[in-house]
Amino acid sequence: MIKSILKHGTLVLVMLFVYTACDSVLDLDPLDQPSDAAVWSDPAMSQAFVNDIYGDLAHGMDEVMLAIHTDEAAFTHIGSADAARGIITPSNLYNTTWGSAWWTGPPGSGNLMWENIYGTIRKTNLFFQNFDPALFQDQELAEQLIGEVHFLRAMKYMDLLRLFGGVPIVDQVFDLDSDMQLPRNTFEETLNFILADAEAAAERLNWTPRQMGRATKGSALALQSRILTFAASDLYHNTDQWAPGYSNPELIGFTQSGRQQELWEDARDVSLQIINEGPYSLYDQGGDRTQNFQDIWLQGGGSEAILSRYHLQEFEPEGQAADWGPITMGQWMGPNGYFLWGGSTPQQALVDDFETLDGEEFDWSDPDHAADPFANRDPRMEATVMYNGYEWRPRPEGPNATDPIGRIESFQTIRCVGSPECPGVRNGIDSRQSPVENWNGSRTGYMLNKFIDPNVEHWNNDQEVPWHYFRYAEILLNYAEAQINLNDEDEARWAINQIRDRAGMPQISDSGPDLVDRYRNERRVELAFEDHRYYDVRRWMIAPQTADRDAYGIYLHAEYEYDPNDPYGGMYNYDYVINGDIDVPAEVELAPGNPNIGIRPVWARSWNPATYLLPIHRDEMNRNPELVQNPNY
Amino acid sequence: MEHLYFQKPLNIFRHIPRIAGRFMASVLGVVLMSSMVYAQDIEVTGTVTDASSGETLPSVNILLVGTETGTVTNLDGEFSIMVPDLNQSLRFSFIGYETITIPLQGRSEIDVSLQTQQVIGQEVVVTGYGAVRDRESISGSVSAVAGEDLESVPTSNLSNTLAGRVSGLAGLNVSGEPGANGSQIRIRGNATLGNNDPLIVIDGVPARQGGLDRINPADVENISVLKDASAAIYGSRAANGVILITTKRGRPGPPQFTVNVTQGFNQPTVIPDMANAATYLTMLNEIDRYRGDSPRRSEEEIDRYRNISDQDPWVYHDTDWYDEGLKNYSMETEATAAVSGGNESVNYRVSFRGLTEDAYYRNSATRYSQGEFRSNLDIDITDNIRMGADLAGRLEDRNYPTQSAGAQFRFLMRGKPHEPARWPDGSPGPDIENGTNPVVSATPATGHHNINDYYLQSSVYLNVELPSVEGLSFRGNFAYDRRFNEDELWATPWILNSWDGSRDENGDPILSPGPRGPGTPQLTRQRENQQDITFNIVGNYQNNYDSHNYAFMLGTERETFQGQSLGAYREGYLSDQFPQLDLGSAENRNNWGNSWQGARQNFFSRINYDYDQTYLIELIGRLDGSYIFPEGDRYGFFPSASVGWRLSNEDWFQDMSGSIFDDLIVRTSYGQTGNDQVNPYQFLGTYAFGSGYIFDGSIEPSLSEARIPNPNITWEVANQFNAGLNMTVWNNRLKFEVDYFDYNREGILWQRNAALPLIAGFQLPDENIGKVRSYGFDTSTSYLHGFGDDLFINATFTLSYAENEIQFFDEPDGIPSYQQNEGKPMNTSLYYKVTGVFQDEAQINSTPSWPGAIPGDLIFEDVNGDGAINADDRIRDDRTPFPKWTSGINLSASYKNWDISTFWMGAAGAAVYTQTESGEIGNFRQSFAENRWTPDNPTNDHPRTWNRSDEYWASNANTYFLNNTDYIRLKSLEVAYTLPGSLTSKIGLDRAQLSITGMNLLTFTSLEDLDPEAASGAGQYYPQRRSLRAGLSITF
Repeated sequence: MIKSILKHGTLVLVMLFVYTACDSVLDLDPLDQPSDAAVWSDPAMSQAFVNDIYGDLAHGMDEVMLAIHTDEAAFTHIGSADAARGIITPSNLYNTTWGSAWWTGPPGSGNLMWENIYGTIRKTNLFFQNFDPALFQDQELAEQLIGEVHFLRAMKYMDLLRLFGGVPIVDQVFDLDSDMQLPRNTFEETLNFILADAEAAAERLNWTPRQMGRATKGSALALQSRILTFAASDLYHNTDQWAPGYSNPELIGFTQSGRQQELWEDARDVSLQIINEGPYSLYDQGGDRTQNFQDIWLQGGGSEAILSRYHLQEFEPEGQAADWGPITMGQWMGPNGYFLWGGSTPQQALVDDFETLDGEEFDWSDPDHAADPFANRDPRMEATVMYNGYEWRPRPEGPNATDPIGRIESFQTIRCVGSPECPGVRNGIDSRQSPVENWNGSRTGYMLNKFIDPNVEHWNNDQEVPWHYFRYAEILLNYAEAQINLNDEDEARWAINQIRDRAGMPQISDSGPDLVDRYRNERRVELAFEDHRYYDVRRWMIAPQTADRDAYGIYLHAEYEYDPNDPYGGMYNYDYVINGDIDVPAEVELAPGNPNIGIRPVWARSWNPATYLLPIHRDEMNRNPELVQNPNY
Repeated sequence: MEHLYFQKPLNIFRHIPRIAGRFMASVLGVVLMSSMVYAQDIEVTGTVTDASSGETLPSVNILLVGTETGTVTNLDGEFSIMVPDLNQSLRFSFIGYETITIPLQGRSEIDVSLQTQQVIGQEVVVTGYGAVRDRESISGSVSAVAGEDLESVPTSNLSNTLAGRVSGLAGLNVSGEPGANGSQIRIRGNATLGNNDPLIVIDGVPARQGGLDRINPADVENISVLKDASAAIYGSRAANGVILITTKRGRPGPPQFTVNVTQGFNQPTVIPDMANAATYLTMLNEIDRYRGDSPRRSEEEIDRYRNISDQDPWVYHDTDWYDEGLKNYSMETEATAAVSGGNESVNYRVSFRGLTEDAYYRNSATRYSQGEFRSNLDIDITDNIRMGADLAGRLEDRNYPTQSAGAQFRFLMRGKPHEPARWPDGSPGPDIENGTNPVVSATPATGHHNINDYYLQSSVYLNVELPSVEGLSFRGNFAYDRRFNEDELWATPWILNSWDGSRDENGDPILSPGPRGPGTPQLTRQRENQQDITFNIVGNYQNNYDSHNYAFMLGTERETFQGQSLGAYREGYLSDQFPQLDLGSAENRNNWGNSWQGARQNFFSRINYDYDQTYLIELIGRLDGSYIFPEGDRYGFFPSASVGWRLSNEDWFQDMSGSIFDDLIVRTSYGQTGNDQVNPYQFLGTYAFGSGYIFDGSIEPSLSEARIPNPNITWEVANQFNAGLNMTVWNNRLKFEVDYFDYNREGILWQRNAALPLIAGFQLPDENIGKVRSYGFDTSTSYLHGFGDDLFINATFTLSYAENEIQFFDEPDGIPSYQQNEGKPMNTSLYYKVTGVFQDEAQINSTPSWPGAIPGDLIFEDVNGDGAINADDRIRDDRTPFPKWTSGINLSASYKNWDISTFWMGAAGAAVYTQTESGEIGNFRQSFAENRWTPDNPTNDHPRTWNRSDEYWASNANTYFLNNTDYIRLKSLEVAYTLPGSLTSKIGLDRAQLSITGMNLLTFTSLEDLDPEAASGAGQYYPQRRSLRAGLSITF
């Protein structure tokens, strides 16, 4: 009996012994995530933290570009965005058409959303709170990192100031117990904060980058040039005109007079400093002007690039900041006849604003201009826009049977005449009646060419084209604008003509209001699709004219003589013909100088002065009673 | 008792009592035999068999009536007993069978067959940690289903067999794709904003990898579902309910082989009926007209599509894309084999299963195959020491094309009818988009995606009954599981053919073949493995004193797991024949890997007491520790209590009710359980590596804050109240059970949306703030009746209702009350409310309308009456894809050798958003096309033809596209014929059965073109299966 108890008891004890419960089994750490203490005590990880912030900089390489909110582009897959239609409200800011977020609601990509900008600002503040330069063997490197983060924070506040006006300045790291109900700082305070950060960056950084892609002294000064040009502009000194009766004008501009002149001077000075001291020059490798202009991106931009975001095919963005735009830009933007998706397509208004090669304003009522509207134009037009007849690149297998050369076909139809052997009428391969993926066909008849590498088969390959946050041409233009406003027209013309020389356009000699118009147009065509126009038309207060226009596109029909010996040849030698056989929609307006070409509205637009600034989301207003809403909402 | 031996499905769980009974009988037998004191003269011998199956029954208890003399049958069912004379009677009893008393009437040799017991409610349920208990001694809300009931459902996926069969359990079968055709299971609906998955316990191991989907239904002894706080024995993981699966084990007896072979055929339950070419082209013209354009095609040309057979088949097409892409039916084959048996000390059961399933696609690259075995072994080492070893292995071999099923069905629906899927010569036509032509992209031509999952599950147990203390035992269980995952994605270019109308000199069309897909073959290989160790020790003490029955259990359990992954990528292969990593180009190659781990440690106890099964009490407490939570908050305590009162045991009640109740118990329970299915380490401030940033032409590492820590994070707690009753009337023929539940889930991890201005720059950590109430009832009724000796019918009806309501969500102020989440069910969305269709300009001008609206557009209601339509006019709709009502009706009948069983399932209260990708981008459903608004058909029920997302009502969610999915369907049907025993015994078989089974054969729903359980209202998913199977089952 005792033996039996012993035997069984022992077995039970053995089980318990093997088990031996202990609490330490629960003391586990994540295997793939360092603690905050580990990060900030390790120079390499501190650097990696700074690298991450660069990823948050807002760039324009998105399927929905900032350009669709302006008179630059129309988005193929959906009508005008709520902002462009003037129906954006504090409650639908991020909950608009297509459901949510960046698709069409607020201008810009996710990196321009209020909460995401403040998310990046938190990163910069975390750095300032925790970064320990003493850990670094290389003190210069530590200083540079500090400078870079000042620059990055200034970039983020610049986006906020441009989109929303004065905003709450957060320069600390909030924790759960912090008082986060901060009021908005004034426009001027926000500006000064940006300038101070940019200055702190400029002091610590060199003209030459530590690595390509990192902020430099030039980047910090270029930021100052941009934000000073912005703040000096009329919109922020005439708030009573567009926001009469608004209770807090200091949030959206300057209330004291006289500041505008000082700001223009500051803008001029910093632009000039870059021009005089910086290592920058306009990219010019000689040769074809169109090619040269495209190569500012396709070849990296050389000495013109002040700060750029580079891309590699093997780069696999992931997580919240997943950012495929830059490498799949060609697929998103290109013609459907290449199996590409149309995306943000140039508007007729932009195409029309490229001058003729001899410096004349393009005019549809001029029969010479209208006869062949895409010939003899500013070389930058072709570098920016793919238009009907533009020879781009060989088409992929399939569509190449119809078009072996690779010329854009955004005409509605093409037909041959003059022979009973003529094949029937067919639709343009890149049109919205194309046999190839026509729902991706551009509605305007144009596709974006700027930033798109013609040597890549975009439907199954990625491109490696950088985005220039700042390039030297903008500095010259900023300089010209400041000088125009400071009445030094010679300097202004000098700067503008630098740009025009490089572009292959004749010099200008305008002055007075003509010079202003000329300058604005030069800036429009030079910097098209580079995320400037949205801010420019507002700060110049010309948005009521430019943004109230519906988006238009081209309307073409082609016709050619049939040659039985060269059945396909005629296809590349066609005329535009709109005759009685063609049932022209009522909305098409035939060109006064050439009734064989028409243009037609694509998407409706409407200007609403409220959209000088974006609203602060209703939920954010309710979370923070200190906030004051922008005017006209 | 008349001969009521309807074998299925009412005598569920007869095996468990049989096993249990065998032990008790053995013990009893030994005791009795050793105490024989009478002089006995005559030996009576015989054999005892099961009346329905003819199997011999070992361990049947035999008593000489009026004495204490007895014996038990041996392994062959034979017995021998000494009796004083042949005028005595013998009583044969065996748990799970009717007791029968037979007068010897002079015979010294008698063969007896026992009928299985037909008392409904003779269920046994499993309540966790080894407790197998009579249904009658349960005071919590527990449902159970016998494994054999599930075998008749023609699906290889166990998760598809439970919904509607178990009251309170709902399942949404969202896909029929081979290898991914399981159901999402909810017990009593959704109760938390977080993870609502119930805990699955397989043979005592919680959350065993691989889940229940792929377990062989033929291996399942029974499934118990703990629905209320009685699940607290699983503490922090019990709040969503617990499903306990027990696999079959060996029984003493000669080896018994069972072999099942089935051949099945399946097809989609519904294929959307799409518009034909002429209709579609007419609608494209309408798109042009509505935009102010001239129509792109003349009526004359469209007429050619109306007379398609007269046209050149190369030029004019009227393609039925579903027909081009899908077969009429696809095959599924399954075979199982099992052998079980044993003797007094060793019992075994070993089973095998193999199955393979094809997909709907023509020349399908999709195929699911599974192979598995399970071996359960029990060894009695001594009378008091028992051990066992279980081993199960399974290979799940999934093969897919490189396109997902969602993409495949998206393109089948989008395919334009006037464009060719194939050319008249059979070669594939051009793509629809991105190189996708569904007649090619589901085939091996695009490469393959092979996913192999290997599961190895092993466990050993040791059970020691302490001989010195009666009723005291200890059981230790150690389980070691591993999962290996191999994933190979080989994406190769494929060829499509376009045609520009050119012809050769013979007039034959010249097609232009062109490669699509990746430029060069691309190979991605991934490996993942995980090991789980579960170890527990449980002490049990149970005894009784007079009518006081009590049991006490105390245990502890530890779980640890760790896993790692590894992956690599290459491209630039010269050939699409050699998917080997080292043959790819060195350019753009990539690799990755990661690892993870976790641990839990628990202590638990359960106390049961009842007085004569009249007053029942159960108390449960569990202390759970988890790595997920911070030190100090790592342990949570989860108690529950339940009480029951069996009125039918009270004399006064029987007097009052006239004794119609065989059983009536009222019971209630209350307790707290937890849900720890949340992200671990939320209390730690850590940083995470990102995808890097490019400097100087190379990718430099990046690092950012992973989260803002919440140092106070703790368990999500469910306060669960349940009240119910069970009753059995009419001589155990009718059984009824109903439960009402009211759960309050607190501490749901959710963000404080309202409090934190976004200038904070961080996402608030989840805090234990969310509160959701869920309530409802579930009921089950079964009825059994026999007509004469041959015809038996059985009906079971379950009905469940579960509703939930967000009690606290922390919403920002200022949201219109009709948009708030609080007070509404979870996971609802905002929609514009559609009140009709604009008929003319005058109506548009006089009604608040969207800018640019034209006749034929949907009218959105100006909910807030501000004269404009904007985001504030959206209303929150109560419906979600998950039904509130779930019901099941099981009707079965047996007549002689025939069995017929039908299972109907119904659900109501769910909705799905059914907007298709239509317009220039793709085709329209015919049901829309024929009812659409046109100037000639000024309906108020359907809008005009739309173009993808161009129209405001196509791009803004609205109630027009939100459709109810209420349905009733014949979920399964079985017709079986058992060959007469006289025939089968001649060929050496014990039993042979032929059966035809069907699944989803009939569906009644108002939802057009889609299965009511559709995962995607746009039809972009692999539709549910309708299947028919023929099977042969033999036992020998």
